[in-house]
Amino acid sequence: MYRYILKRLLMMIPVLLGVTVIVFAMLQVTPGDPARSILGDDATPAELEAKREELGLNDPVVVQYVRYLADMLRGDLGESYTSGRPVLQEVMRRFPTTMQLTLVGISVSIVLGILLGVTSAVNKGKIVDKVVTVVGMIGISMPAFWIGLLLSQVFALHLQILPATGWYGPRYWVLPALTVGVNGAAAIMRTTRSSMLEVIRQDYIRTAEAKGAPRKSVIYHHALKNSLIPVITVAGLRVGIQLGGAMVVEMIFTIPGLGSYLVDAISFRDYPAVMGGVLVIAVTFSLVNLLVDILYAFVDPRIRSQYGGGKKRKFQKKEVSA
Amino acid sequence: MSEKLLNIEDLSIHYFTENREVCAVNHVALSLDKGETLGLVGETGAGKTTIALGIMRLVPNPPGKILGGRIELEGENLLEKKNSEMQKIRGAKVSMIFQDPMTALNPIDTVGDQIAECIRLHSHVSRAEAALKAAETLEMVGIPRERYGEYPHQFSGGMKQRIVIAIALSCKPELLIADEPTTALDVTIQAQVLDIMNDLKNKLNMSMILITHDLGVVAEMCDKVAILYAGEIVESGTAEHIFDDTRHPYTIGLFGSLPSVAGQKRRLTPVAGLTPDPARLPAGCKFAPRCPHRTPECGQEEVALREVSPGHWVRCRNLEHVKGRE
Repeated sequence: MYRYILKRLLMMIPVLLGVTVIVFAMLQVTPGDPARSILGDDATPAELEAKREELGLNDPVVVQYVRYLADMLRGDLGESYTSGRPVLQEVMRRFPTTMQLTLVGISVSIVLGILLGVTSAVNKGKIVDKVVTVVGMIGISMPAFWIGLLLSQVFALHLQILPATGWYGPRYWVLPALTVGVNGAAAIMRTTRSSMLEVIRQDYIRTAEAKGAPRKSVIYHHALKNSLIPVITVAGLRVGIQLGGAMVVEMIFTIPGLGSYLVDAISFRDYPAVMGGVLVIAVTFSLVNLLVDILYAFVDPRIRSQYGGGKKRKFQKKEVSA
Repeated sequence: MSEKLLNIEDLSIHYFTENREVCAVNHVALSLDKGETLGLVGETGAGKTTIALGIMRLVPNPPGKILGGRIELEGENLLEKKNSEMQKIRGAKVSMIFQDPMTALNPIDTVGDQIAECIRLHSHVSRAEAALKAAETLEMVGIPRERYGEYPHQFSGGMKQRIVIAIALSCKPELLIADEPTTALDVTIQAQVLDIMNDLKNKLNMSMILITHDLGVVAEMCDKVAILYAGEIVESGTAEHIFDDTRHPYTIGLFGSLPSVAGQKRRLTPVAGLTPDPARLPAGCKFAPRCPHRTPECGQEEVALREVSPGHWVRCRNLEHVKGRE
């Protein structure tokens, strides 16, 4: 298992290299001049040229990229063009807020999604199931920014029971978390439902019933636990989507997180800031994916034995063949 | 010995699908004394498993529905029990072994925990005590207790079936329903599993309903036999009645399709035709369309069971013409 985790961590290196290449290339082809963003419209061509030279933007792209990589390996993500402060420091200061938003959001998705999915699967074909399925369809079709605007309109503007902007405590979390969570809840609901329906037909569910297990235990212990693998997969993917979606939601609710930082950085052509922000998100997403794979093993012993469990496995092999 | 444990009367179970009504079990009556083994024999789709699920009250609903009848266990009608009461009976008084051991075990729980779960559901013992009892049950079916913490995928098919048996027997039920317990296993393992079941049945003084289509197994294990055809019992009696004094044309047909190992080589004589579609059962005798002895009247009116000798019942109107098998 540890070897597996180590292997996966090493595999993150090429992935992250790929991310830097892509983002770097995209920044090169986006129109706009960082020097002009920094100096403003009334700067003279000479001033602009001097600034470009200072930032190293006149060097060949490959040289710029290698320089960036070399700095990165030393833990230096460069300084922001706009604030002049180290990017790493700025990004890490904002990252916890975004992570918090993502975690609260994904929790909303998971709790709502699994509860509704199980309810709908258990009542398959009944009115409850139909209502939940329709609500799920609506939930998955609404874009996050629209949900956000709708929620702040209703709860902040009309009912005035929840704040519409800021990030100062749990009360401020509710609307943004719902906004990022609703799409995910719908996706997880649909996955849970179909996975549960598949599992409920299995023989071991009947075995559990034949043991005299109460319905609750049959559904939540025997059926749900066996249905979790696809649900975990979808939940892991949603974390990635929600990290990216944080940009939109942070703008709507003016949350001082990584998303709004990135949006500002992009519009100012603040190359180091964009690179740094994207890199941190990519690392996080890779780690979440690794976590998902570890969770598989945790849920399903068959996958655990595939990852290789060391001594225990050898012992079992001998036993089975005997 | 002749204390009555199970008594089924007039049991009918139908499945209702979109535009069909499948008559899986029709007016079945069975009875079983304590310590007895009853063999339920019939082709695929004859309603054997549905009867078993009916006794467990586990007929999937929808689409299945128990239309009527009584299933009495020690004098109490199971069909009138609330679901919560049935939960206390399932696994404790009546247990069931399912056909396919490969899929009957929960893949993500250790086998020991799956046995212990049943024990904990039906007796007030601590986790540790239940685990201890589960380990004993494992040994009872011939699996070393060291393997308590292993998962189903680490066992072979025969061993999985033993674990299924261990789960079923963990609470020492009074009635064990075994639904084709050996069909999915290879022949050498079949004998082992049957031995274990017979052994434990005697040790725990259980009664057993053995569902099978293997007459060899029936001969080895059963005191009483009921032959099922298209959801009806066509012949029932003691094992001697069925094997030595076979009367119903269908039962005779079943024996005819059995290869004999000892005797001289002969052509098998399978029963011609197919089992009728249970959604459109023929009128009158259900077996008439395939019966070599049918007369025009057979297809017209329902045929009742007749007692040809004490305890031996046959559902055929032309018994006089039907010769037993040689």
